[in-house]
Amino acid sequence: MSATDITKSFHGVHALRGVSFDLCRGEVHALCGENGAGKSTLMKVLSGYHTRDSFGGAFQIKGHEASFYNTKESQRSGVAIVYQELSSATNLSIIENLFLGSEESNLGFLDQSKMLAEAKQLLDLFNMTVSPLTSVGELGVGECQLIEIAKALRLRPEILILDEPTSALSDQEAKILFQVLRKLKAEGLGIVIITHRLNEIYQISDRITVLRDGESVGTWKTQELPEDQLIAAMVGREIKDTYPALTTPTEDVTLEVKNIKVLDPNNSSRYVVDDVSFSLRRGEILGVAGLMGAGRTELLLSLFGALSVEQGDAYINGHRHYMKSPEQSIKNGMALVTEDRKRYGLLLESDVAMNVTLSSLQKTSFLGWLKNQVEAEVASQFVDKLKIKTSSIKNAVQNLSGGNQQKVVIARCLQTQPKVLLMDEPTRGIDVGARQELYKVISDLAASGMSVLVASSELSELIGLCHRVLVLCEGRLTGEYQRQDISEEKVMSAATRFKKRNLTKTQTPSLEAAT
Amino acid sequence: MKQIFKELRTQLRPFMMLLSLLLIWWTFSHVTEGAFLEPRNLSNLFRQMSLTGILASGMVLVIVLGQIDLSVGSMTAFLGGVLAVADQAGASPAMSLLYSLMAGFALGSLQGTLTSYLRIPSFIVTLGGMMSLRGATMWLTSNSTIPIFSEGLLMWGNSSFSIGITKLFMSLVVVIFLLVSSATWWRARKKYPELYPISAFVFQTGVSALILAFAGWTFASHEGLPYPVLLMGAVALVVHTFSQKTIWGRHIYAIGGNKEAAFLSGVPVKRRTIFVFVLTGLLSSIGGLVLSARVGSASPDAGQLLELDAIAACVIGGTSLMGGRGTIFGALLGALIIESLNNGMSLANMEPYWQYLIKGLVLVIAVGIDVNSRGKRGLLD
Repeated sequence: MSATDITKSFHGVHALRGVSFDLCRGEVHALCGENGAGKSTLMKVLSGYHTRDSFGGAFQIKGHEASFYNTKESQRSGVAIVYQELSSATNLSIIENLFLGSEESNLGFLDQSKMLAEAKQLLDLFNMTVSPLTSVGELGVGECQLIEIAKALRLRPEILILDEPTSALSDQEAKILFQVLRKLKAEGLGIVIITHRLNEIYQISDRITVLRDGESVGTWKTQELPEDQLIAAMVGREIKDTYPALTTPTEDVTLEVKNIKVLDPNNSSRYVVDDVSFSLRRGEILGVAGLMGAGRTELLLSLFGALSVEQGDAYINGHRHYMKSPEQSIKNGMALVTEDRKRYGLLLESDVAMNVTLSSLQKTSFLGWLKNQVEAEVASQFVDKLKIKTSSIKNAVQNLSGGNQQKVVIARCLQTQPKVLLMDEPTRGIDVGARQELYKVISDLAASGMSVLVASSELSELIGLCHRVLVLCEGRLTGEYQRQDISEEKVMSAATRFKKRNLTKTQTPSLEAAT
Repeated sequence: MKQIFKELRTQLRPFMMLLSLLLIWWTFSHVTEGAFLEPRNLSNLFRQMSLTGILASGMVLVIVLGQIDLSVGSMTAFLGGVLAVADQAGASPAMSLLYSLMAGFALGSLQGTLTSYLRIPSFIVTLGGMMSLRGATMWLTSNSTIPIFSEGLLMWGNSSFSIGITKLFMSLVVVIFLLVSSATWWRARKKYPELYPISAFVFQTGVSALILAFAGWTFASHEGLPYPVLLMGAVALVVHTFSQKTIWGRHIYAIGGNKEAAFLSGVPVKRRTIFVFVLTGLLSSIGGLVLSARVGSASPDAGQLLELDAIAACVIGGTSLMGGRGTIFGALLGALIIESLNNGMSLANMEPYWQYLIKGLVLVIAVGIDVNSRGKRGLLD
């Protein structure tokens, strides 16, 4: 496979600029770069996720021009991709997931025995001993990830693309995965692997391509590129360009959390937040790290009153904060920037003004009567202050880009004048430029005396942005690091303190019960 | 010119609705050789429409919230029964109405609580309500027709204001409407000219004023403004103002737009849900008054399929069953379309099976056009 001069932009922001990339048979090609460098976008282009018309450039598979309009077409040409986010249907069994969309059938009836045999084979490949009839919901995140990879392999692809396959795996599982990959490589499969873990790159890959800010820095044979040169190629600039300078927080504690326990809403026999205590000072940015399913989101949601807290207390400026409802939490001076802004954050079809004022309608009304002009003024102020790019405050937020949508959510939070700002994955799905702006906004808020709690799956982001980082594993607090003595290794080791991660659900917990 | 056309595109939906209403009227006027458009018939049409209009005003908010209320037909019958029984027992008209409103309040809170706090889907709660309230009506009326005697109740079905008062009142309504909406618009436009284009204002205000003036002319040329139509106008005005101008109204649209996001933004989703069901309970009580006053009695099988007329009116009027979108104005227009079909087809002596068939087709076609003229919402839409 070879791709030349790929260009792709989202709403005028270039995600890829003239990137070229090639892959040989029987090769593992690692794709490196910082977050937002365009790795995932490139792979989505190659796998047909982005339709042929939406990007510039050309690519060929085995010498033939490839133009995919959907992932089905790319699958037929032998390209299989496993995305970073798990996409299993947790209510179905392993076998149902493996064959989802391409079920084996006989005269329209499912051919269960044929599927069972094939599923067994695939599971054996990964040394998995679970029954194929087990519900995927009962598996750990790592096992789910392996199932996803198995599902991709079932289509007998010639090109396999893995987007951060090991981010959810334990060391043991990663080892098995690499064994499988080596075997596949020997069979002539071309494999593209995206990963942040440098040691893995050296373990498995034959060649390395580095992307930075949507451009290709270069391609090297793995053994010809030492680690320090790789990092230099990836970063290409000083870290301090990305993250703004921080002011020192004051000594007074804004938020005090004591021994919080939260039951898993989907499985009442385990805690998603287990006995967590911490304090947050005025003007401090506190990070919450942890692997997928470690309880980061749940911690924030429960502090905000959106998940019911089994036991434990919280205090804001010394006053008891009963974590009963978001409504109450907002009154107590708390605000939440949600993880999935489209699903949990925004009224997509409503305009910017309505979204900005929703949490604090008292401020733009008189005795329960809305004052449209005050509302328009408030919204316009935030559009100026946060540099939200929108044609007008009456524009529906679904027309805005990801970064600007996120700013709308932040504006809504700021309009409530919170003392404590909770942010869950504030930069997810946001391009590099907008990230930098957001980091600046966050650090400015802290400098003005707000206390910020940031949960993120991106370690580099937490390390660059926060005064202090808490690490969660299995809902328990397993580490706390000050800015000066933090490192990715320390955080990762704390985040994997408990090996057995049995998760029923890895997505954001359902708010059904709460609403 | 191009600019005006572009702005008018945003008004396409109400414009299309008006156009289809006029088309229906034109057709019936041909079929009935002009009888349909006589002030006598049109006045009658508005009178018939008032019940659907009142119920649809509440239904809009239920659907905007993302819920449904199938019980309003039975609820209207039951609350009309309460009214009749109280009247027969010698209560004053005001007290009878109060009893009926209290019962509507209680039933609405019950259905709202079951939906929000106990998380039973509103479809099921109100389906149960539809059945059990029908049973309750039979029990209350001992399965017989209970006549209403008090003039103070009956007038809400059949009486009208004198022609003189009607002329004065309707002129005042049109003038005040024009003044108030122009003043509000002008104030807003001074600050944000780009948000309040002239064409949209002229269209909305102009069309509404024309409709009001036309209705006023119709009443003045026949029997005067019917009491139930006044009641409907008042109800619609109150509910419209509530939904567009208050925090609670904003909350309802927010919940319908994205329930989780609204909840996490501090909107008390459960309490607002209960409130909307209470509102439909109260409006069903007013509907019960209009219905039983019109026929002069309460009967066990009154108001059947009324809920479906109300839902159809909302949906034809552009309310999205996905929630978050819908206006009282649209629902009233929808109610007018539904009642025009009812009235016109009866006037043309069409067989009942034709009437149901055509109403069903109109509903599906209207919503089909509406949904497909909108942009896509998600992958599968």
